Amino acid sequence: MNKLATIALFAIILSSCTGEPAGEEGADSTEPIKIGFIGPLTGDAAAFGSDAINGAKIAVEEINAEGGINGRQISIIAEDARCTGGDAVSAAQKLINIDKVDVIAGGQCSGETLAAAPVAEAAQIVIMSAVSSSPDITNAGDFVFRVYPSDALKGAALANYFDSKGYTKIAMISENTDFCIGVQNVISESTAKSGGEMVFNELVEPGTKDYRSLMTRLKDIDFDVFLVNSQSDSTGGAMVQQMRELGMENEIVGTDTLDSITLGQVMGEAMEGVKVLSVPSLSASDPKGGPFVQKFTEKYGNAQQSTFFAALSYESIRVLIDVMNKVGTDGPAMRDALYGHTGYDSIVGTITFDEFGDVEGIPYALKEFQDGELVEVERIPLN
Amino acid sequence: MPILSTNSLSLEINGQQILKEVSFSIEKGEIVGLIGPNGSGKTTLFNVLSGFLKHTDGKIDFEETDISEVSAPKRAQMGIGRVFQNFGIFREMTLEENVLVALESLPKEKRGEINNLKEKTKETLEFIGLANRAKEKASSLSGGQMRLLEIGRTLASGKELFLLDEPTAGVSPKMTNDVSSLIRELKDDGKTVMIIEHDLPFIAQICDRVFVLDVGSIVLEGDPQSVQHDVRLKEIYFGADPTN
Amino acid sequence: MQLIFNALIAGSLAALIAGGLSLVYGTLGVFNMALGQMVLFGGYITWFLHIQMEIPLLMSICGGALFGALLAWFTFEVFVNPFYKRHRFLPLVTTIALSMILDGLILIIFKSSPKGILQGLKNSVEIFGAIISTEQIALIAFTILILCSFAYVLHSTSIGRKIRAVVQHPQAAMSLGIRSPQLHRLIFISSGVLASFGGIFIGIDQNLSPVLGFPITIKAYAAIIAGGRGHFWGAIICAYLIALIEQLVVGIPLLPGGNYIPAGYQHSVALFFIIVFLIFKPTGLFCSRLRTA
Repeated sequence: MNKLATIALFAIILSSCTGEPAGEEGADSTEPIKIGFIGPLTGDAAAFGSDAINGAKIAVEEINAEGGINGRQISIIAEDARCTGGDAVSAAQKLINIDKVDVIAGGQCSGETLAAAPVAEAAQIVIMSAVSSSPDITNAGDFVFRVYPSDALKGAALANYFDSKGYTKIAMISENTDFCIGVQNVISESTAKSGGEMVFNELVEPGTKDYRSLMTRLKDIDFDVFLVNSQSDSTGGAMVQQMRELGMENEIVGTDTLDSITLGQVMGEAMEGVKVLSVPSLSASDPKGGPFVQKFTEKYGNAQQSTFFAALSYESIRVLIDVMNKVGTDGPAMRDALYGHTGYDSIVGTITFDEFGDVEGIPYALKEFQDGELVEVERIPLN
Repeated sequence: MPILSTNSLSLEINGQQILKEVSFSIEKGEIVGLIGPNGSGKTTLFNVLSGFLKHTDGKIDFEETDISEVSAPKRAQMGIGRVFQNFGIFREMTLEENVLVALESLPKEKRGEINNLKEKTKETLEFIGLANRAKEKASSLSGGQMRLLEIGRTLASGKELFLLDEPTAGVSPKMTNDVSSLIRELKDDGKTVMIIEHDLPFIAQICDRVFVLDVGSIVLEGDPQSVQHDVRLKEIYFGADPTN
Repeated sequence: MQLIFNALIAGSLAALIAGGLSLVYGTLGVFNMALGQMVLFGGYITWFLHIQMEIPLLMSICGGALFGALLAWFTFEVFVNPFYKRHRFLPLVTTIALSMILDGLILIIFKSSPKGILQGLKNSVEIFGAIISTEQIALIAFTILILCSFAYVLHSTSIGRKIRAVVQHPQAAMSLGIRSPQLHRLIFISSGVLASFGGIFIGIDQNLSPVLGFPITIKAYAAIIAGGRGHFWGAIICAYLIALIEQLVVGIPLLPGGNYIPAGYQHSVALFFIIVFLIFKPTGLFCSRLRTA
């Protein structure tokens, strides 16, 4: 357990809370550049929130060690939005109006990003999300960018996979969050398009852990595959476990949130054979990402959910820094530069932004739980 | 030797003087009535004596010990018993349990004097004539029976001083006699009793002495007959019907 | 049948927590808003002892319960005892503060990834056409055992009689010489122990994650309010009842045309039942009359 790291994290949060008002914008060129961070640092989704902040901190430390941007150091101010839109709005307002940050990294949950986007847009500040995937983010605004592929693509990828397996009867339980509803819509549409049928499609309150009666109902339904559409690994894990306990052997497929290294350990054989469609994993032996993974593990221990999320967050900060190096910290200038920013070579893939600020070049991977480990079975390139 | 005495006992709550320099002294074995209009501070005085409220000035002596700083349960263990206006019985417990819990709450040395708690419980219920209902819930009793149970329970736990807050309230006229004869038996046992009552004839019949409380001070004191006929009593009640 | 088992599982968990809480609320009149976090701590400590320290499960459970007792004791002395006699709502504020502190501590110490005390799939057996795992049977049996032993203590021992006396008429109890402050401490600590058992239950049956705290607290309060103030059995029966309603809402078609109520309304429907019920019987399910507080 890496207590120090988390204590340090809290120290940052606390110090950001005391928030001394910054001086006039750009008044002093030796002032540090401020990056605001929004993400779920507490709550059910805190697993990938803490991976994201830790990844971002590594990027900032590296740049500072290299001398910063044109001699200016970078500081990162983290705000906890607990995976809710309301908290993300307050966080964005605080970061922009009180801390006077130059750019925002976040949010991580789609709900956070969608809520914070209009605030950043109004202030003409670039907001860059590392792991938000809701299709709605595509049209969330001019200043909104992300390095995570949209779930619109995930729908197509899943539909392809179901097609290849001959699955037509789809069962799904979704949590009532922006991310899950985005996935739910995409899957429902793509299933209808490919001639399949949603035979079970229930929406539950966020954080629900007791799925037994829903699973009891599902047991009497004829279905080919069950899609776990959860907001976090702990709720998704509960779905899988309670379904398996009732003796249902059908194939289970999960989305990004099931992409969790701890699930295999916690749930053991219940997770065996469960498939996950997500972004690729990043291991210490990866030729490109290996050094980052080693650095991360050294500093923060094993990732709470996925080193890939940490890596995405790390690279999203590096992209921002790259752009600031070229055009400075002016919001509109950064925005224009990001749209023209093609083929940035990163440890997670080649990052290019399309005209909506969505990333191109990050592939999907189909993984499977085998002996408690997540193993990649297929790489799925996206346009 | 007085069993209970107070010396300019005062209580102030939020700047309001509820009790004003109340001083009195009660001898062992006396039955003393406490009367006065509503809001004159009678029940408050009982609450201060039992330790539920802490007085702000003055002192209380019980059996020649200053008990001003003693907590309510401790005072009970020293021998101050209390009977509540709103029936201080445990309604969801059986009659038997109501008595038993009183015995079990005695300090160790006093409990040791009772050989068999169950036996003592049975005797107590027989004494108040409710032995045949030992296993019933106390909530099934009539008001008078509840009062008998409450007083009987206090007696069984060996209290010396009884503070009875309107023992005839909620009791049918027929049962009132049972209650008053039980109180007389307390006196015969050598116990000391203080009674708050609105029922003046009841007071006249049973008490040795009467205190009249008005706006937090004792304004009249004497034997029941003289107090009952004192012209000032009417003034205190402002002509209101004192039996009401 | 499966639905009834599901309700038994969920209800046992709620009953463990609500039972202790009902005693605390009944005797002290205090709302302990950090209850959910105490539940989680019990579970996490057991997880830590069993998985990290590799101590046998039974001993780990005892360790978790012991820690729960210590935490409850600490909570009582620092966050409740100095305040509740001045005003019984003061601990509402202090324990909310405590719940935030504990939330943070859980995150720092145990991190946010889910934790399970028993790892792997459970052995399932079929009873009356319903599937239930042996662990769940053990959990239900254990809950019933714990509740029965509490019931025994409460109904047939001297200390139990004193507790009930304090619940039913605090002043009369004191005027008999019952030292309620000590009883209050004892009750608060036992509620902490019951809460930790609840957390261990969650850790064995599902998995522990840091945000469970508040929803647990709310559900336990719904049960004790529906059950009637300070009514131990009322709270427990209502905990099971709420669980049953929740399972029925999603498990059987209640809407016309054989349609199901959307699962997202599961909790709302259960709480709605409670509200309707309280409108007709504001004293709660099992209290025969209103008590003057």
